Amino acid sequence: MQALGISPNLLITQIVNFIILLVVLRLLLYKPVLNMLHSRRQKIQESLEYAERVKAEAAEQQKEFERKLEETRRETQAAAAAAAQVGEKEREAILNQAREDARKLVEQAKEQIEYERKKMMADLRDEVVRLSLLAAQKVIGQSLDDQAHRQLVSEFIAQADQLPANGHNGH
Amino acid sequence: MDINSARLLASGLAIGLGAIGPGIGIGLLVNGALQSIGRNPEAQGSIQINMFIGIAFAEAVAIYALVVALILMFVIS
Amino acid sequence: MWRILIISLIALALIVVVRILFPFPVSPITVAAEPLPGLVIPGINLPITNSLLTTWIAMVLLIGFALWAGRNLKPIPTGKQNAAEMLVEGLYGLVESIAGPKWAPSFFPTVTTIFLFVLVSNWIDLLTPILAAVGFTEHGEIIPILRSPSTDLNFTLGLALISVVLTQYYGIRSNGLLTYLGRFINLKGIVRFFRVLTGKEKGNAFGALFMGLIDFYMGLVEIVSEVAKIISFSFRLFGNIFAGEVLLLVIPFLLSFLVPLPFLGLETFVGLIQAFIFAVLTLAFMSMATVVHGGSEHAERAAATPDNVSV
Repeated sequence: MQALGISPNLLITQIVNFIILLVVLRLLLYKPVLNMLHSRRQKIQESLEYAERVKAEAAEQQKEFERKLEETRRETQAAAAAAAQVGEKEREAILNQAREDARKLVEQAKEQIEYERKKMMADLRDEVVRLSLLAAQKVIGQSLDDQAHRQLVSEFIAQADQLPANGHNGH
Repeated sequence: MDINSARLLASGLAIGLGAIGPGIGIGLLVNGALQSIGRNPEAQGSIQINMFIGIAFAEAVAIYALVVALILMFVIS
Repeated sequence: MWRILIISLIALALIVVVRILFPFPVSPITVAAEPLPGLVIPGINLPITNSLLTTWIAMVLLIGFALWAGRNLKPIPTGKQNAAEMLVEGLYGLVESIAGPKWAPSFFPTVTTIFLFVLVSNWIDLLTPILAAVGFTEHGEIIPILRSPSTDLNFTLGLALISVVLTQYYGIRSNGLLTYLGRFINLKGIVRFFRVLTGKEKGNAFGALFMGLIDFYMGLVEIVSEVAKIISFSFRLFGNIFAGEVLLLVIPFLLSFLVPLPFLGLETFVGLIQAFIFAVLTLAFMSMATVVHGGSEHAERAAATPDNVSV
């Protein structure tokens, strides 16, 4: 042992040296570096998870947005359709109104015309009565009793009216 | 031959002869390891570590020869 | 080009001439580390040898590195921190790949410290041609002030003792004291022989005795192999680095110019490999010790673990 240089004192010293080095290196190098590596791994893990979450959220938002867009489009379409419907109704109403107005006007005009015709007819009848009276007076030379006369003519006209009507049914 | 020359000769012979076996052994070991790495390069890491461990075992024999040689050289006189 | 060659040749010739004219004292090749004259720590009778001094220098270098690289760690690493992280992370990955995630945190500091300590002291050995020339002269021989710790058996034996003792400690911690001791003093087979003999268990009594004796013998072999581990650990490192030192000392005497360079490269490699082997073997033995050994299937055990090969 002595010849190989092994002595208990030196051996123990070397063991103590190693233990000191082990403790110091553990304190100064291994622990801090391993902790740092560990915390970095954790941080990366967290970042990845966060990114994943954000991505999922973005996808969710995208979907939501598309859904809203679709909804809005549908709503717009519905509104446009409703508006078109309302317009159509309005148009219909106006048209109806116009048609009604036109019909009324025509009716009025017809009434007017009828009235005029009736009036003219009455006038004409009076005139005919007068003229025929006049003519009869002239022809006869003597005047009939006016009252009787008038009755006579009226009867005549009534008979004439009983003749086949010329276009005016019921009149 | 005096005792000193015998001692020196024995010391040389001890390490010289003792190194033959481990030399062959390490050669075989590395041969096998390299062949397996060639066949299966993915396993290189574990093959290398096991190769080193095997080499250390083979080398231990040479180390015994070295110890004997050192004892012959320095301790016995 | 030619100028460089001529200058080199002149330098070479000068070195040879100076060597012949003024032979300076050379350090003898000794196995034992030399105590530095007059340096003794009195109380405990501790002579300070040149390799002990160098051990302290290696420790200072390592602690300096730890202080330099392990301080001010930031989440985003730069320069020195990258180096420290690469080192620690790589070694941790190695430890984890062999020992598994359960034991890796316990084994890591010891294994890494062994690796770094041995590596630094091995690489100090590369300076041998310079170190060997610096020292006290005594009886016409130099006592170098510095000498690589790996070429001192105290250092390697100390590390080997730590490695083997810690292996036993982890084996006991993982298996329990009795189970772990049962690996070395294996009485299971003999107990079974007596059970068979008294008729409590069926079987061939002769076969049971035979197997029991073999198991007991294998346990004794394991004790021997644990002791052999200490020797092989310490002498492997010592032998490799000491041989490298002798090589580096002898080669310059043959030709001191350019020729030693390849040997320096070789020694760099050997130093790295030896540090690696010391650490990995420690790790492998520790992980083997923590594996629970069960049953008397000695054949399986012999196949599964190479630890009854005498190391």
